[in-house]
Amino acid sequence: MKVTTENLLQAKTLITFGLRPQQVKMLTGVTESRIAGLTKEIIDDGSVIATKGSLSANKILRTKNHFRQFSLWMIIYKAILSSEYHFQRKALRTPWYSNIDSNILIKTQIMFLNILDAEFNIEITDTTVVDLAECLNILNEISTKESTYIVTCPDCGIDYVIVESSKQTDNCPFCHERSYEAEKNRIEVIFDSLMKA
Amino acid sequence: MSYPTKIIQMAGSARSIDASFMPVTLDEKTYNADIYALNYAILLISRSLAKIDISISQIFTQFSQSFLSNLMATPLNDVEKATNHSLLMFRLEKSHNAMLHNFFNTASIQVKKIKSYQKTQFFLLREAARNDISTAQLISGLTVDELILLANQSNEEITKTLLNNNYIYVYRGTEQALKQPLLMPESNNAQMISLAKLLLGKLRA
Repeated sequence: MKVTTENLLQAKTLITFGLRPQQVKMLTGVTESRIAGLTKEIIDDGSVIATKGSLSANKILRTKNHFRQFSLWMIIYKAILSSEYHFQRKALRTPWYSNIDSNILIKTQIMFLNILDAEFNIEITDTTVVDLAECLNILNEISTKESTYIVTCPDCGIDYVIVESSKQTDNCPFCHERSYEAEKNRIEVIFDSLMKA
Repeated sequence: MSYPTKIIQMAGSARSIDASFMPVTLDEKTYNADIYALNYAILLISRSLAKIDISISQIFTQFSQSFLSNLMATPLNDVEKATNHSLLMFRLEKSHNAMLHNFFNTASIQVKKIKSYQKTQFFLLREAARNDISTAQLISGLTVDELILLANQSNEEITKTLLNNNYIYVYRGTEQALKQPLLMPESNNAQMISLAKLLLGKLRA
């Protein structure tokens, strides 16, 4: 594969998002020695590189909030993917999570951080937000392991991931943790729709 | 279906990204303030018009009666919290309803305000589409064809289309999901449900 300037720029961006050299190599096709050079360049520029070890999905998704964030991340990735692929009019045969595009990854991460910051006032720190390297790890697990998979909640229709080795329950992270008031509202809504039918 | 070469070139340059700037400036953030202002203004107008008569606000939106009465009962502060900052909540749709025609032909201030908001929305989407098509699609829910068409229009053309056609606001997600953050304004979870539904509505369509 020929390495273009765009590939190098993408590699540089991915490194600043905290991806490990092996992942960057897999996504962009840039060799390891060049990645080391780019990393040094970024450090010389004074930017901080987020470093994360390779964690398993079980350790990354510690709370229900992390599950929700990852669901949101997946939805954004799929939305951008569908628009780009529709635009280029290409057929997509493999499942989306086993064929990751670095350009869409970067766009997704920017949009994701933007949305978390604007909608929920979440401070973007290492512990509160699922970062790009972690998301990639989880996607990798989904495509390789049988104990990690994506399901769609029958109640609210939102996709979420199930990690069988996790301590968290397999219930939907969105609609299961409803307070009493919301539960009452939901029953009312169901009742309304039944009456109309 | 094929596009003229000039449009393909324009759109192609629009969607390629300059990755070197990415970690420093989050470009999409520049739209946040405008998008938030538009979303909030439309919710506010439909709320205040519904207070006069629910059917008036049903002329130019597609909200159900129960949702509008819920919106009326919600305090302004809570409506503010349920408003999205980074995704447009409403899509503009052409309508040939005679009632709507009469409504837009009156000279009231509210009607003029709505028309000017629609114009602002078109201008904002045009800028977004010229900058990056896939982001524009994400924040607006329009198709690529529509966005390319919009990106190539001049100010006068947009003004003309707005004069000749009447548009109504259609909520992009599901009403029930939007109801959740209105009922529980402090809950992150309820907001995330409505946000996820907004994005999903585009995927499933």
